[in-house]
Amino acid sequence: MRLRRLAVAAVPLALAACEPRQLTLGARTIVGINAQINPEQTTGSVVIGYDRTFAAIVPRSADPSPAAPGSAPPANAGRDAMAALVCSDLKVEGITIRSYTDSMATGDAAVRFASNLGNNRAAIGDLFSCFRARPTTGGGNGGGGL
Amino acid sequence: MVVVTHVPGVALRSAREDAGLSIGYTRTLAIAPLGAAAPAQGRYGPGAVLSGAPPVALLRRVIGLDLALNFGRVGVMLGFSEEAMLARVPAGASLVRRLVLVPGRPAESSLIICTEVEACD
Repeated sequence: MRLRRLAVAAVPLALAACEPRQLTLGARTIVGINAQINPEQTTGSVVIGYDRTFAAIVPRSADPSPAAPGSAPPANAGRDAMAALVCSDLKVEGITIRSYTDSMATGDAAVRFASNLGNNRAAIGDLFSCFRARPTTGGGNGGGGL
Repeated sequence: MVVVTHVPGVALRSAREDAGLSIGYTRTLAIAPLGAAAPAQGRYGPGAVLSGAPPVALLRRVIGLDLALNFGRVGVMLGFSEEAMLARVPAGASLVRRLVLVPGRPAESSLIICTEVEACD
């Protein structure tokens, strides 16, 4: 089984007692019995049998980077949302992960890259090649977003 | 730096965000930036302690009983579990990285961190 360019999905934190402060990507597979609670979100679950999860938790806000004295304002000045570009590729064999590959840019580096790129998708290098094949608008199974 | 640990028996995890205990067989693959405190390449026996920068990616397989006791999760698992922490990046961080994680062939795993996309491309 192979999941190519698995889309990064934002998991809504409907019961989030506190705002996530970091971008988190994770996967979990269970065969057997699992019972757990999340003390932060006051949620819980019980699994008997098989369960697999791949998820991304994306912060909804980020503090703008402070400008260095005498330098130009940072790329994310005036923004308060986290910027992230991610291309990921997860390969699964049976119930285990065979390989995982990702290219990731966050914060100012992602903003600068996107600003320099403009609408010229042809200039996207190998690091974020999954964005080359994506249509300009709409969804699909591409890697991520900014 | 790629670190693989095999623990038959009891494995205690003391990291704040991942604290817990496993009884059975635990295999962990961790990838961390190569810092000055990194251990020399080689095989280490029982009792080895890893310190320094926390891993940027971690994959753990447990066969047996696993108890999770940390602020994000309190629970118990009996059977087989595979848990992967693939990224943990602070909301305000500016970084570029390329991660390759191959659990079955640790030598093929790698991590490259850059400050700009063009530098990693």
